[in-house]
Amino acid sequence: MYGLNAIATYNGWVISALGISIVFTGLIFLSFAVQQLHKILKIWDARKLYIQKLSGIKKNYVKEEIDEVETSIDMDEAERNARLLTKVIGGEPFSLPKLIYMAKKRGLKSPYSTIDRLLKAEAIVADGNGYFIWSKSEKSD
Amino acid sequence: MEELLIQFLSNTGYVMADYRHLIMICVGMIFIYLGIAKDYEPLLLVPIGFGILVGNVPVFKGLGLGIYESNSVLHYLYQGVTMGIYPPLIFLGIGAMTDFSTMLARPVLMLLGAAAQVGIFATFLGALAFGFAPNEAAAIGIIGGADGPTAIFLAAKLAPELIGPIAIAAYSYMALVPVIQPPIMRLLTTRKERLIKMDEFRVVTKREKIIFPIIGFLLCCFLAPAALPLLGMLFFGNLLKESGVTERLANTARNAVVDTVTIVLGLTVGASTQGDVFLTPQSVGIFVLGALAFGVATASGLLFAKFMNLFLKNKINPLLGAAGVSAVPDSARVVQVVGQAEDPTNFLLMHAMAPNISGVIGSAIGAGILWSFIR
Repeated sequence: MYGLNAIATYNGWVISALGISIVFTGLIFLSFAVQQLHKILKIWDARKLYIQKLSGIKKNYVKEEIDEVETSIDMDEAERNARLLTKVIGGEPFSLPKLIYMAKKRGLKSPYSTIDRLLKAEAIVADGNGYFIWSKSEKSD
Repeated sequence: MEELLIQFLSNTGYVMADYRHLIMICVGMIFIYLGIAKDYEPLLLVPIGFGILVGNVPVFKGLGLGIYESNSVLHYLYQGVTMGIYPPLIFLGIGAMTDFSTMLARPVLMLLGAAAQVGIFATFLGALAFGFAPNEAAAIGIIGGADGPTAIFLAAKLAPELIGPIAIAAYSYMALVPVIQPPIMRLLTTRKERLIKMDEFRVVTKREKIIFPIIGFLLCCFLAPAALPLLGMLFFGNLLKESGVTERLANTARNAVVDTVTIVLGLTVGASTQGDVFLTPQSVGIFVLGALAFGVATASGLLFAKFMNLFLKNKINPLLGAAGVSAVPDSARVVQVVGQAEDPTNFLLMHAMAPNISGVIGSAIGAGILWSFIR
């Protein structure tokens, strides 16, 4: 048998098409793997840095979570502490940066976020003259 | 005494030789001439050429001298060819002497090595159309891979009776790469394309070179397990080279092993071309198809490089496509020569090594595929 007949009878077209496709697939796979190899090795070399970064993010995340829990739970306590601090800095009206400075100095937990929350809760409000005052009078126990 | 003398004379080669032996002896001498005088693949053409002389000295049948007689020394040595032992050992040596850096630095060039394998499958179709049986057509098709050991390996598995003509055709055309390829390269590329300069390679680290043979082996052999004997040895040899701790083994593989095997392989393949067995219309057909295979492989590599340029921001010199045929390193050298003929400051050799080496991998995968489809 000769010619196109022979090719068709022995599945020549299919074998050839499949064969060249497999060769291409193999070398494309290999080419892709090689292309990525040095990138993977770079990541591997910098793995400590990545781990540190990742663990840093994780720590901050946990810390923020804890802060949130703490502040949400201890908002009353935070307000009490802040009120005490306003007395230290000279009572109402008070300067917000001065309050934050004092809060940091006295070791109040997360002073920025605590005071931010007090502002958002409108426990602390602006007096219209660039200073702040407590919106309600101090609770008596 | 007169009777003894007549008997002796009638057993000499001078009396037993016919025109076929003489033709093959001429072919053997041409091979030796090309190897020595023209420096065309001398490491292959000289042993094969001398083997052709050895195989075409007419011998008295039954004395255990001819390569096809089961008790002859040549026959024992030839077992390494027919049983497919020598080609993987040559691949071991090739692996131990090959630096894959250029391929690792620009892996996209590997696709040119894949494109050139179209030659294998085009020749397979051509051989079927010529009337060869599928197993013979597959063995002939692999000539398009331009890789002698792969051609011998597949012929030994699929059509052992054709090893001689296939091996001779493959090695002849490999030796003639500097003659066959340049006209096709000039025909299919413009001067502007031939002048394209390639970007510098990035530096490839030692670790990449060590990891590559392992990844390459696993990826390729999982895809085409039939290529295991060839690719397994190729990547193993390369791991020996790159690991840095097996230098003695790598040294043996790339020198002693490959040299010994090349000598025995060349000599026995040459000796298998006995005129009465070799000079058949089939052999002529194989030679015609072999030429077609090399032409198609070169053209498909070039055309694919041009096709890739349609999508690439940094264009590649399409001449590199011609190096996709795996005649290492001859086709890469041809790319360098043709490129420099246009611009003496254009150095393409190292860039051409990437498709050249991937062509070796591609042709071994191609052989594995044909073996698994046709066996």
